[in-house]
Amino acid sequence: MSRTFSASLLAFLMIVIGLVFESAFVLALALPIAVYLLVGLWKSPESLDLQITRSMSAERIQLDEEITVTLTVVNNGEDLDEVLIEDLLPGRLEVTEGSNRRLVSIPAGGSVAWTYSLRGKRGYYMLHTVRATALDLFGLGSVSKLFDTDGQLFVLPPVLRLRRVSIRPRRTRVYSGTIPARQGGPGVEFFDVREYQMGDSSRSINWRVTARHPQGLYSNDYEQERVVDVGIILDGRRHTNEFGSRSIFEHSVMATAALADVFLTKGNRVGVLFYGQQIHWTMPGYGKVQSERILHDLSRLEPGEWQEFTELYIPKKLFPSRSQLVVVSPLVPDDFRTLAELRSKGYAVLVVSPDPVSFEESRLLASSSVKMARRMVHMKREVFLRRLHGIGIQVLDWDVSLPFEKVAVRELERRQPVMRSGR
Amino acid sequence: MTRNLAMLSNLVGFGLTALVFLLGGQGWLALALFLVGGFWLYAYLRRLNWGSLLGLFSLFGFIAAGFLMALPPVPLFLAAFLSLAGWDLAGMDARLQLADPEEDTKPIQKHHFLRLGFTLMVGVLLVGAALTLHLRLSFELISLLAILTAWGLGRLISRLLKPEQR
Repeated sequence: MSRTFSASLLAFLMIVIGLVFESAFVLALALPIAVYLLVGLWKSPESLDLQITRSMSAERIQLDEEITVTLTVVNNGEDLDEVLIEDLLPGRLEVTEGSNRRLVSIPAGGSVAWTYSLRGKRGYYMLHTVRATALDLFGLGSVSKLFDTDGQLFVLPPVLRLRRVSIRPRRTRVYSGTIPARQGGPGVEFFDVREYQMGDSSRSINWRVTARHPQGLYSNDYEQERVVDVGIILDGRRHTNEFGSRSIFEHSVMATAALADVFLTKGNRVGVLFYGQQIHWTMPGYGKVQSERILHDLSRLEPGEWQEFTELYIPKKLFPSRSQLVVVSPLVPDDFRTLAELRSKGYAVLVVSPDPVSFEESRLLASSSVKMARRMVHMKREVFLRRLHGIGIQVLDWDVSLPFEKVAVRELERRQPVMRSGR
Repeated sequence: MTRNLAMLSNLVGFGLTALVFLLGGQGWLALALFLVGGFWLYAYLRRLNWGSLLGLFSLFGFIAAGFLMALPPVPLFLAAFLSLAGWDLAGMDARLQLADPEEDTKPIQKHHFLRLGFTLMVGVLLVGAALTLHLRLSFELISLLAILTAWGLGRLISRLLKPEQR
């Protein structure tokens, strides 16, 4: 019931009761209410003519960083006795200092500005609506209006710095890089011995072999190092990532950001494929611009479910054959077939799998039955991961209670043995 | 401050009306007023939206009943003004809750108090004038004027309200 209606109803009731009982006193009771209504409504705002601008200290921030938002409101209309201005924020943003709303009075032509601080969870946020509600001083008449303002905010996932990730895809690109290309040429690592050719440095002559074969001169050949195509596939299927109200997806995003960063830093061409509720493909590219593009895209992604993707689905056309694929997924046993197919097509596959078992266990009470269940599920996962390893897939099983960079240093920086076969 | 004033206005209004009833030999009604007042206080402290409305309607109802029982009018009118002020201040307090706790809302509150004081004073003057100026009018004419007043008041409110508020 609005305040105006309540007061009017009371005034009418007093008039009716006064008339019915022929009481001047009761009739007179309607007078102060009538005066109250008239004074209130007389000064009630008719329209809102505000100009609202928002400025932000940054449009992209890392997780746990803060930005300051400054709202400036200019009143181009009549005097406003009481106006509530609310910057409507998406739910995942948190005001850390100040407030996103203010109750102020602004005279005609006057302005008000204030600043508050925000931080939020990973995501892309549109900050484009400010609601202003003007009331008269008695709160009887009100006008509310939504104002469009400019503003967007990317809260990027944290980028962990890895030194290197050791991969050996069969296909490399022509530019020199850091990935062993299985071809002799300028490089650091010993690759082969061949007959001396004009122009070879005398330092490269293999004197031991030459001594054994006096009919010729032999020199060492080194393994060329080149850049490669890396396709990172981020699994956003809800049923593999979410466990009740908890989600392991943030860990997958963090790992993806770290891997994309390290591959791009080493000069490789990196593309990211995300699939959850829909497929999102960040076209392959090089360098810092690509790194920014990937981080922007990662900040937008949310896990979802699409019936078509209940199984791991990788559109092979997007990735050149025999290139490097990195699958970031908690994995379910049904994914084996898809991953095996990728290997059979000649892709070098690295699986980074945030361990859902330890993640889920961390919130359960440590009872004997939980321990037993954990052991069983963990063994099942172990067997599954060993099967993957058996078909030549490099697997990083990441217990998410440990920092990714530590696990990655231990597991990913070691040189990988050459896979002789694609199968 | 607004919150405390709202509570004080209503409590004094309830107390004053209950006292008038008690002195007028209406002990049961005074007790009922105390109970309603207590209920209002509970609702107000719990910040229940309907609390202030309950205070306004119930107190005005009791005051009207007091007039019909020919109880002293001055304290009852005073209680009516306090009740109206309490209801208004409770509404203001609810709106202030929407503001940032750190925000300085004193200028708005001061402006509000001034306008409320002015409005109540005009109300007091009008009521005083209505009760002191005795015109000899027939009941039929009074009824007609009252109906016209009610209709006119309704039209005026409807006109003052903006289309989107109706």
